[in-house]
Amino acid sequence: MLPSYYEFINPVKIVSGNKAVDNIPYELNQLGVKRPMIVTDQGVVMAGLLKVVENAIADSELAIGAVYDTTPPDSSLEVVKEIAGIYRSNRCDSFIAIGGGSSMDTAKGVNIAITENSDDLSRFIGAEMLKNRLQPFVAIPTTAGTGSEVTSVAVISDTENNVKMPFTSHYLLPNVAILDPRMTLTLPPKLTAATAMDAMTHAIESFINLQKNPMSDAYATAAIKIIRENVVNAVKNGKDADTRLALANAATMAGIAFSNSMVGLVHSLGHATGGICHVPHGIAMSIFLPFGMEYNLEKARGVIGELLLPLGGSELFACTPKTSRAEAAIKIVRKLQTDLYSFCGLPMTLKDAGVPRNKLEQIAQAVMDDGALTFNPEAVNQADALRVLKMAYE
Amino acid sequence: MKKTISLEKKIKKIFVKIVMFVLGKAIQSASRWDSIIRHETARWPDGFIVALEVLPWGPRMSLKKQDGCLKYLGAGPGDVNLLISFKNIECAFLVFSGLMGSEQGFIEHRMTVKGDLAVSLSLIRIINLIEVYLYPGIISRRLVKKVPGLSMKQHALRLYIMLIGIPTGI
Ligand SMILES: [Fe+2]
Repeated sequence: MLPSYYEFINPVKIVSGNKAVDNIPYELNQLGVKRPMIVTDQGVVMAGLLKVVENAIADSELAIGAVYDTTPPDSSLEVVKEIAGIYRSNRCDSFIAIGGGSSMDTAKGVNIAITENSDDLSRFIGAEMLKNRLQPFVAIPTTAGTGSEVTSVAVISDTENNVKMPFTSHYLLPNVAILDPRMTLTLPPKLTAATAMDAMTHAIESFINLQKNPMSDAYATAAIKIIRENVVNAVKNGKDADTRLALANAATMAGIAFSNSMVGLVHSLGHATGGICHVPHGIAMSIFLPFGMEYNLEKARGVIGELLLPLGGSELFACTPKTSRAEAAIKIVRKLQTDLYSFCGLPMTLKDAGVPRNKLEQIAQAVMDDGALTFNPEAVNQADALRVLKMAYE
Repeated sequence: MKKTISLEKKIKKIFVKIVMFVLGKAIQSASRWDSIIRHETARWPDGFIVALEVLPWGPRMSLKKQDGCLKYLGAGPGDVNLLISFKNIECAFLVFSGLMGSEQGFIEHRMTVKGDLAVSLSLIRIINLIEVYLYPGIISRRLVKKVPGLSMKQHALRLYIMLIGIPTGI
């Protein structure tokens, strides 16, 4: 059934395939810029991925204006300020962000500081506070998970006041996202599993939740099918380039889906658990996903049941009676959880993930401040959140 | 070319303006007496101003956190901390006439938010509760995901808001 009204946007050009990175000079040329700044982290440098990008640019008329390769895992205001200074003094004119969520978020933050010509980012916190088109931005994800290459969000930590500053604006959408299997080949098994489960959660939550629409549904179901078919192989045979490219595509599709129809309870629980106990986002997603689906069974049984098709394939879907498809879909997610646990030790409970039991109350309270709850089909109050946290504990 | 705003839109604007007045007074009154609303606003910074407006020319309403309560300011100042803008009068009419809940309004992109998202969530929870107070159950069940069971005290407060709170703002 069509929603009575919806909106959908994805202006990001997707460039996908083996050696796609070598298209950077062409793409930047199209955008009319000549001196990109590269923002990345040490993990990317160690894995030799920065070199891949530098090699592509060396054989072109572009000049690399500057490289910042020590982005911390939690992007902070100080780092943004520092990078903005380097950007200005080297007269750069665009950004290439290489990495997981942090490099991209940091570069987005720097882009705001540069475009608005202000190091005081606090003026732009919240939704749609930006008034100007930002500098051209190319995103090269090195994990197949966050979807940051196609989302209009950046989160920067204010370490001084210990708060996370969220920015959302359609100007934060990158111009180009480059999906090259070379960039994810070296991702270790556990990280591969965790980031893939993050992408899986983006797709499933966007399909279940109240802002779902036919466009986001198409991206979500396509993503779920690809992740389901490839995640275990990517964990076991990390060097399989086809599998890696498939997962990268799925993560981007899931990113487009949730960027347009948002996420729900699973992400609210994950954000709160990450904020208080520093559980990595993908691991939290993997733990909470089946519980989030179960929580919404009453209100969203029909759509959860539809997920059995991409999750379980057409045969299983056809022989499962309509009334038990939702439970069957949740069962497959649980099976995936145990598979990933046995292949790479991905934690299945909050206890495994190192969350102290006495923190659950505090996490439940933080859940209530998370915007994703608005889009969750079932209402959630603090007691509900605590109940789910306890179920996910061990 | 001369532009004429249709009579229908003019009437809807007047209607929204009246509902904004009623809602503003009801929130002001409830924020003094309702423990759930007091709990919500406790974390808003003092002096924080939130405005709801209809693009492009209004109507508009503002609320200010003051002495632990919310004060209705009418249209209010131009510069506010949180601005919720309905994209046009049709969007605003849906929400203010009780045809659509405020959460559903967000979900359908009927309004945009400028400023602190956590406070905007808190505001939605407050408006949800006020809707439960103001509308009969048969309507409020369509507007919020889950209608909370009201305590005796809340039933009394509901009557108070309707009879005294809205006319006087106390
Ligand atoms: Fe996520």
